[in-house]
Amino acid sequence: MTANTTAAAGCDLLEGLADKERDRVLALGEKVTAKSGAVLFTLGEEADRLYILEAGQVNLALPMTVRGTEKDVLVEEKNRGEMLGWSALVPPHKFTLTAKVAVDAELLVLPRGKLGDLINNDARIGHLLMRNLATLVGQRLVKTQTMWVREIQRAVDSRFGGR
Amino acid sequence: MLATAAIIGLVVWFLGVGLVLGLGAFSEPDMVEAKPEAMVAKSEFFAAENRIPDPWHNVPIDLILSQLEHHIRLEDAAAESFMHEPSKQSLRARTLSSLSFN
Repeated sequence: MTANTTAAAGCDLLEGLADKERDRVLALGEKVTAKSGAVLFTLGEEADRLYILEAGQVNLALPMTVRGTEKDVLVEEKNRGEMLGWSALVPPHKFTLTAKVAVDAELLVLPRGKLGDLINNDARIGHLLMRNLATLVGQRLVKTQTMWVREIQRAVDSRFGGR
Repeated sequence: MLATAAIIGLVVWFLGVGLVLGLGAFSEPDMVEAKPEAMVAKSEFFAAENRIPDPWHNVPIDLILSQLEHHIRLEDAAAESFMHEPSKQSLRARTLSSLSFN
């Protein structure tokens, strides 16, 4: 196992898997490199792959309109060892963000079809992967709720007076 | 003679009073109609006078986006902090983002 695949092996999605099970998952992937500025996927696109970032940085963005001009605004940064594109594992399998490489990146690309077959055929691996995915999605949900409530609080303070 | 002068004086006085009251009656609607216009004009005048200049008006879009990203990073960190130790205080903790101040 190289240093780079060690980064992928430490990904939260693979938490709790035995070494052999982890290797089976990682063996499904293909390594790719991407230069800064490259777009990995765009909002609304078919999510047929999942990425594990082995090196570099990827920014996840959503479009916002600023003075009538549409711009992609950073929502989340992904760094070494993190997963992105979990929409590949969850219906309707459409990416909900746009992913753009911020720092030259090395990635492991896991095709949805192969990953789905492994999940369906190995109950233990399937259970652990989906449990880890639920944990990651749950954390994202709590963080998003927190940020949302903070923005609403500011809007209330601004509109009705507050702190 | 004196009585005639008194009668003429009374007639002139009544005419004067009537004229003044009559003018008032005619001029009152004009004043009523003029009031809303005056109020609107006054309101616009003060609104214009009190209008707060938009500090972001001449700021380039790239700089606004940069501020927005800075704001989101700080808010992300604040949300992480809340998740580590959930409390009302950590939920409401302020950041140094320039977009947080209203």
